[in-house]
Amino acid sequence: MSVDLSQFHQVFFEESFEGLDSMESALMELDPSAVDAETINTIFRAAHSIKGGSATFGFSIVADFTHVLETLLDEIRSDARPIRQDDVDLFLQSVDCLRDLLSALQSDETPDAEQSATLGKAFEEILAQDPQSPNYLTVPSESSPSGDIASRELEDSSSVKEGPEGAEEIDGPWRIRFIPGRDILRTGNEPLRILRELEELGRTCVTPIFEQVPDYSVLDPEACYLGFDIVFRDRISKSKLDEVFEWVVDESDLEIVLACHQHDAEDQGSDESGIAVSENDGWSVSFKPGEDVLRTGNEPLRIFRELADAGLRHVSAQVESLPRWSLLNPESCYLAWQLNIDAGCDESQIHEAFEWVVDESDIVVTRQVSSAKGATDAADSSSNGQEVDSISLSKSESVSVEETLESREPVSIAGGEPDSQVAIASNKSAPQERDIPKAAPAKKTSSNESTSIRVGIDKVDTLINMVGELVITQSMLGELGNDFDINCLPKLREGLSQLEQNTRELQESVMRIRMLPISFAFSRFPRMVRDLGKRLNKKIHLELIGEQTELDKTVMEKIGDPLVHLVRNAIDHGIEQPEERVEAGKSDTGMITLNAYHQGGNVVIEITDDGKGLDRSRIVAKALDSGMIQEKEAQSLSDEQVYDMIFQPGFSTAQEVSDVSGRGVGMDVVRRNIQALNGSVEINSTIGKGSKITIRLPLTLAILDGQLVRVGDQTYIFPLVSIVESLQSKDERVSRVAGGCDVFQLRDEYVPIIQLHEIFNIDADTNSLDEALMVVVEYDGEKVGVVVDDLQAQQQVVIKSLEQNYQRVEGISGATILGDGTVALILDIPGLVKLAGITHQQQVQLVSPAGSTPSLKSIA
Amino acid sequence: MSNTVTVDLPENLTIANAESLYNELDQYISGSNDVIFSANDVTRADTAGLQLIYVFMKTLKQHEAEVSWSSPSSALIEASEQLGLKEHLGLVA
Repeated sequence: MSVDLSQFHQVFFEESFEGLDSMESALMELDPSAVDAETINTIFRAAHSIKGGSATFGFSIVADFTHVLETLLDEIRSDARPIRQDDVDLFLQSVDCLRDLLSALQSDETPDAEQSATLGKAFEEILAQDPQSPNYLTVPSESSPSGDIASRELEDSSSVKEGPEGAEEIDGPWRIRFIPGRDILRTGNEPLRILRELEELGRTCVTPIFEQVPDYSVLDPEACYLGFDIVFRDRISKSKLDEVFEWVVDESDLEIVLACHQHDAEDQGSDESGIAVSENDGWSVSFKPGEDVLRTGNEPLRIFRELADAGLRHVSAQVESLPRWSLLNPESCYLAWQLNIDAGCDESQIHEAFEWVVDESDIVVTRQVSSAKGATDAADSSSNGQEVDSISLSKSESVSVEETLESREPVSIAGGEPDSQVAIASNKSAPQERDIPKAAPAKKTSSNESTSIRVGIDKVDTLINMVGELVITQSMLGELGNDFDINCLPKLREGLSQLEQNTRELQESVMRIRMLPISFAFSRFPRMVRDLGKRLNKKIHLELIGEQTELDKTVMEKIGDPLVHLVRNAIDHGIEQPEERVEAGKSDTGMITLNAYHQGGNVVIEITDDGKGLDRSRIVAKALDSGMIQEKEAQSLSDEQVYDMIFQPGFSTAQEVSDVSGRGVGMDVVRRNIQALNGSVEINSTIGKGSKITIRLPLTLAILDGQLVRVGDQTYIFPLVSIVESLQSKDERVSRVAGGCDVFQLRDEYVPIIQLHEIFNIDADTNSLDEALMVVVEYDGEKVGVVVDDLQAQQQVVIKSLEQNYQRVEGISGATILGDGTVALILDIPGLVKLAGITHQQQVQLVSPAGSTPSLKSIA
Repeated sequence: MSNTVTVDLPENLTIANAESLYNELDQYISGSNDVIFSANDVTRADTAGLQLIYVFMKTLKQHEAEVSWSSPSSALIEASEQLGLKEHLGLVA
């Protein structure tokens, strides 16, 4: 009987990716000068498992590659061969290579054999060297893959390499005309791999040449008809470029020339690299946001304003998808846009601008190059200057150099809802070549991630025990019911209390199944810090504390991007250059600490850096400049209030906008994302000493600690985390501002009041504030008083989605079923504030000390 | 002959007020009156706000009612331009 092994593939891939993660972590920890045997064993075990599994399932490309990797690791493990820093780098590249191979296999694509072959060759050369040779430790492996050497070469263009290449002149930009042979695909020399390899060496702009593409009826699907006109925008030796085409040069038409030589005389405009740029050159972006984009605070206007700095030339709105007035939800976004951006804008800037909406939007970025100037013959004939390089943005956790480059590769549309894709497809002005046949492995992987969860056997055992207890209690109660008399009442009560305890414990155990250690979110940071540190020439040590702290899987998935943003900010803006640090009397190595722990019902994540800290005066100056605060307010603001301003949309004190961060986009989105998880974020900072960002998150999104309140005959629930205090309201402390909302004097500040019964239009017990209670809640760092009739119990409530069961209701985040079977609505504080028409500006004005008259304007 | 009503747009023509403005404008949607938007006070506008105005204008035009602007603020014009909606909203001078 034959067994269908494909049913086990998914498990193999999941285990292999986990193995690669642990291999990567171990490699990051590995210090070649003091090798820890257990670390080497961890790396070896991971490679060994992947090799075994891949051989079993017939993935020979992975098995062969891991075999040579394992051989080298085995020699290192048995002390037969020392490990060098170069070897560690090579192993790290092998991890990337294995990820690519496995992702391709998982997506039923043909894996890129070239990369593994190059690395495999490098390992074989290392194995061929005599480890006892006196030069072994000092002479680096010559066979390190080209990408790595090249990136180092590009980082330090003055470096002179030994050997024949050292003498060769580094020059650029280059123009490459590459017409692959018709049979190139059949021989496994995938042009995409070559283009990717080029991209690893530096910035490229690729223009496909379509002139040889035949009619569909005569097309041989395995033949290659495309050609490529490539502008390599960085400086590099020509031999490096030749190397990339080494395997295909015989069967292809290849021309590599200096771009500037070709255009010197004829071009008028040129971009920073000296490449010809005409008026029509640039980027075309088709942007169809998801309907909820406005609700999530991702205002397209903010994106366009950011792009305006990067060279946004023209915006045209597409209004075709707007519904009739009667069907219009004023908070949904139905518009789509077509943007034209200057050629000088870096693609990464476009990616960054859309970073926060890419999940929920359809975005297609198209490179437009005018063929009129400076193009090779083939490019000239290719067209009228349109569509050259069409890229759909996909969800990307992209921050590091490699990741950003990867996201430039063609990928399929991601994140868009089916209906929004239809909207784009039906749009006449949307680019025609949006769909790129190759599927994106990253997208597939991420969708797989959400389909399964690995649960420790101890958790399952606990769950089974709980169910056992529940069955015992149920049978006890059942027996009691069969033969019940009044004398059994105490026993019934005991049984019910037992049932309550069982149920609570069962609930906790089930919830624990969804809990994962935060190391899942932290694991990306060592590599990211290493890569970004290298790129920014900063020495950074990353310390991870509390990696085993558990957090709900959904919360974990949603906190990933904000964490990346904060860590990236800490690296880019927090940590100083080594020389600056030394001058300031610090160690030249900056320290970033990520610490996670449980506190009460929350998970606290702290991101600490020992960098330059926030400059209060600069933030205040910027806030004054942008009209966010007035001169007289500036003096009275506490440090916390000042630091809080960096969470305002568009606020950035970065003197230089880098491609890593600093455009003022993000911190507001970070906070909004954290608030959307019912969490909070705050900053502490000391100038010259560093900053600490503290994020508090609920353990889970499924259960909420709530405060039940009554208004009239209705029960509502406040998330306990948002309550600051509850008090008896007093009419005498209420100021009624003409034309504005009422404010309550709470010690030395004025707090706007929201009358819950007015907002929800229900009859309260009383209209007198003296007889009512007030729950003071905090939203966006500001306090609001909500007037209710009575405070009831505090209890954990299971959140039911209103949107799934009914529809979205402003001011309500969900519902729950109470013990008596009635439905209680859970209040959404930000929505409530919106409903009441209290704006942030008003609240800021209310911070004025007692005694001064609060100035309020009614907005609603 | 239809009457003309003037609608004062709020200072914040943003998502925060979109729902209430929608409800307010709903009374004019039948097209029995021409509408003038008094937009001098608008200091902030966003996608939700301008999208709402556009659909309102389009609907009124279908009813052959006129919509015009009275002193639109620079913030309003700037936001409509940045969103590519300036022409659609009839804000071109």
